[in-house]
Amino acid sequence: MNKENEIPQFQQTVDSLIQALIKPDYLKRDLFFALLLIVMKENDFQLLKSVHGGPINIVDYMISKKAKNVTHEAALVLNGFQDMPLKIIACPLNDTVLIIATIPELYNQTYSLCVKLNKYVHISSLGIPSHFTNVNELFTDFKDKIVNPVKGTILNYHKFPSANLFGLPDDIIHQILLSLTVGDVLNLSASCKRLHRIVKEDSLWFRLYSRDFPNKHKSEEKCWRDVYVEEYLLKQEEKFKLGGDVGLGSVREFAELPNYTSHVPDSRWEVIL
Amino acid sequence: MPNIKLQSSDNEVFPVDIEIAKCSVTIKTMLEDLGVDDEEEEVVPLPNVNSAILKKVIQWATYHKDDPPLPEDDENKEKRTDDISSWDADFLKVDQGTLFELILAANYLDIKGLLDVTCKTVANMIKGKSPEEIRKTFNIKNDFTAAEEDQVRKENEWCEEK
Repeated sequence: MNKENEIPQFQQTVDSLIQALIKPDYLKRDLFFALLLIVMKENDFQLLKSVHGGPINIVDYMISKKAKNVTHEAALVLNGFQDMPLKIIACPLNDTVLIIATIPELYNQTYSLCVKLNKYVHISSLGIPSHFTNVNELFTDFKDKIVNPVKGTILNYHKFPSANLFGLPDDIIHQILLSLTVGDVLNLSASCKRLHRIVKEDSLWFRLYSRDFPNKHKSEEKCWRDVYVEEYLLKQEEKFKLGGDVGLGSVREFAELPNYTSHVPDSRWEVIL
Repeated sequence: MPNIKLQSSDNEVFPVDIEIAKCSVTIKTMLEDLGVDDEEEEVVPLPNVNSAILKKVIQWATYHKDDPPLPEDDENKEKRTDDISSWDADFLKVDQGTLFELILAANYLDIKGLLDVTCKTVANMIKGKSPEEIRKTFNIKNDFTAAEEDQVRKENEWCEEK
């Protein structure tokens, strides 16, 4: 027998055997889905056997589901919130995977993300997935689009603070708002009901008023939002009178000049006069 | 330098220089109330902070340990948000969940510097965005009805700088 000829053939047979046994395409998706489950687990989620079943670990889960379907589906719960299970589905479309997370108990509220598999799963020369690349980027996307919104939705529903903008305590949101212009503040209030309510609070408008019109006299017990709006419109009017397009800084100084005098306590004036 | 041990919600223990740990007013007060003896190593449980976040908080506090104390806030000035140091900006290049967890942790631990810089980072993410863009950025669900949305628009009409 000619050994020279035999080796390539042997290699070819082994290669196709490996490919047939491992099914690289399935393996790629399986590994990818397992990776997502690990991220969920790191973020306090628990994998369930089924929507009504008990907890199960990721390896057992992947082996029990291995390559039976093209689409992956798993049930999870956030630790401590067993009454609100979550369904995660990953559907492959050629090289792209669409990931959908749904909370059936919350009117099927759904979050989704599309991911290009080849960007993250590296294929070896044998055609077998060998390792992950750009994983940090994938984690950030997955956390921002799926894990955190889902976690926040469940925590907010149960009235717990959560790690997203609308889940922060009121006073922290006020602190953030105080470094924004009034236009940004109003835009935020128009985004959802909770933020709208927080922006409505008069204590915030008192602070915004003190910040934007520092030289104005402050009397007690007013609706500070109304006072702010009044003052704002006055300022706009004066800006208009002064010829409109002057830089804001200089207009502000002009507009508030008359109030400088009234701000000085009366007694002082008497002394000077 | 004497150490203390900080224990995260998932029971990981971090030995930390006591002076660094004291940048948290919460921990500082706790130690004073307990009258801790410098000789023995205390374990301080922090049930509201997990190990991943606690690690980051310690990293931040270690880098900033020699910072001068922050001046009292002057609320009558619009806060600047463009003065975040490049180290902090790099440190805060994280997913949103981590950023907001850091805000909650800084609030709970009462670390003013960290709370300031994380809040500024969020403010910068809001700046100049329309309500729809804000919803997209922060994954906020629009729970207004069409009529309510109209009402809010009218309510905010007075402001031209949006």
